[in-house]
Amino acid sequence: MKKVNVFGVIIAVVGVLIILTPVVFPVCEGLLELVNGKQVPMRCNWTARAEWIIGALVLISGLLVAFAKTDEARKRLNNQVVFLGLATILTPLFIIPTCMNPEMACNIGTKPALIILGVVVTGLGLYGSFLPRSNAEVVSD
Amino acid sequence: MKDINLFNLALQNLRRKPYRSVAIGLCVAVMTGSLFAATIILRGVQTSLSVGQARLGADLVVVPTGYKAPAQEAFITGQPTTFYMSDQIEAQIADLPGVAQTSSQVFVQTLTNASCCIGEFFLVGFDPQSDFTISPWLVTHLDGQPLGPLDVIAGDRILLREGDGATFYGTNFRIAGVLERTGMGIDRTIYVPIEGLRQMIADSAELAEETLTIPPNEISSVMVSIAPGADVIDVAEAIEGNLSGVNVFTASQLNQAVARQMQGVMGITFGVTATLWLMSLLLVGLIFSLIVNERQRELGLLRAMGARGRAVFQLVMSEAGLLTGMGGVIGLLVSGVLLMSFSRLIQLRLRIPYLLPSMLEIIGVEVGLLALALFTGALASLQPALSISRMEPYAAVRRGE
Repeated sequence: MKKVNVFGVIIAVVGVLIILTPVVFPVCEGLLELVNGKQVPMRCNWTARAEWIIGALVLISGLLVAFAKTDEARKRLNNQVVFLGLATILTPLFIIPTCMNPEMACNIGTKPALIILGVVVTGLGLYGSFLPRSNAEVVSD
Repeated sequence: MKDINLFNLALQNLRRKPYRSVAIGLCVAVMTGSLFAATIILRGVQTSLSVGQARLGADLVVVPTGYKAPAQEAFITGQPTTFYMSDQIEAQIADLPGVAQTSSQVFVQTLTNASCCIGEFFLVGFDPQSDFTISPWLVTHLDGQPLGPLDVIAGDRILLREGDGATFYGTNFRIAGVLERTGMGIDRTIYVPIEGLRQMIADSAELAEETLTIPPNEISSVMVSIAPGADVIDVAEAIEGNLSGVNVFTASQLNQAVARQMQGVMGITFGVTATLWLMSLLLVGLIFSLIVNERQRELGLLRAMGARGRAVFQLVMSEAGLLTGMGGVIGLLVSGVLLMSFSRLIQLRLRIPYLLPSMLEIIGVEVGLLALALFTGALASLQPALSISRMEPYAAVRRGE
């Protein structure tokens, strides 16, 4: 009988939540006018796009963890999940930081939500990486 | 090998049925977490109101007729609003009995694209000669140094720091000081000496993208401090009765305005939380009654091997306590993290003043709610624990087969 790793399913669900974060807590909508008159989106817009990609990768990794056949493969995938979790946290903070004004929509909703989800993903990945196999939670489908 | 003690035994029993344990724990976590969030938000509003009222410094605020609600909104949330009336009103109020001090203010709204800051802020012109709202702060924080006409005091949320420059309507100002956070509209307000504000208005035609057309003999509000022994309501009624075209609101009416705003949301939150608590109590009681029935044989054998009734009672109570205690801790942790992370979002969406209560108070609320979670577990499992501990070992083994 095929077994599904419950932590993989949870990681996949959190991946979906990361993708949905910029929808539930939208980033700033305004456009910035450059000196040459050209209008560009604020930089938090790019943060949101990057998080969509990271969220999709978390979702795929979660599903792979859920259906991985060997413990070794699951462990490697969980290591990858840890890095994706860290990327989720670091993107709005340092990699593609949100807007400078802490009062803006991206800083009061999107950023804290992404950091919390990133911490959850990192925690789940670490748990999966270091969990002794005998204690691993598995459910039958 | 681990020692067999009450705690380990209870923990192992909970681990045997992980999904059931998680379901009960989650139920208690949601109950404790939502109660914690509702309590802290309510206390945060009260803290903010008391700090904000102290900063407001006035007993009464007089505004033109029809602008009471927008003015209250401005004081609570900092939503800029502008309205004007004749400056003669200040002198008329000062002549009324029971009035100790008056000081007028002029409200101007910043442009959305002000060079210093993003968003719209409130510029409040005050008269340093008569002011009694900002001046006490200047004495304690700026050693009483007089402000120049272009020296301004900024609220905490403006994101300007002492010594910074800021340009409004083409006039350059210097930030002389930053007020402490209050959680109210004051945080989004910039106090400008009236001389500097009048100069800015006059120069706006030449320097600003948008010209300000506020006549020099017009003011927006009059802050009133009442004489010792005078009644606030009596003075307010006297002002409204003797002067036409004005509305008065007291500092305590700001509380009532916030209470009206909060009533619906907090009523629903506390109602849902009370229902959740009742459901948790019933759920834990029902599940522990099932657990005890299911484990009659095991607990009977424990008794037959020499365990006293009290030990069995303690075991069942420990399982309930452990489960509801862990659920409570998780609920408090998650709720605390969410509350800290989204406090500004909550404040903006609910349009309420909010200032985080002191750490001591937060810890007090956490301890109280954890005690409530443990009490819920104890109360719900009391009956099943008592019944199994009183049962004869033989009868328990036979009934459990």
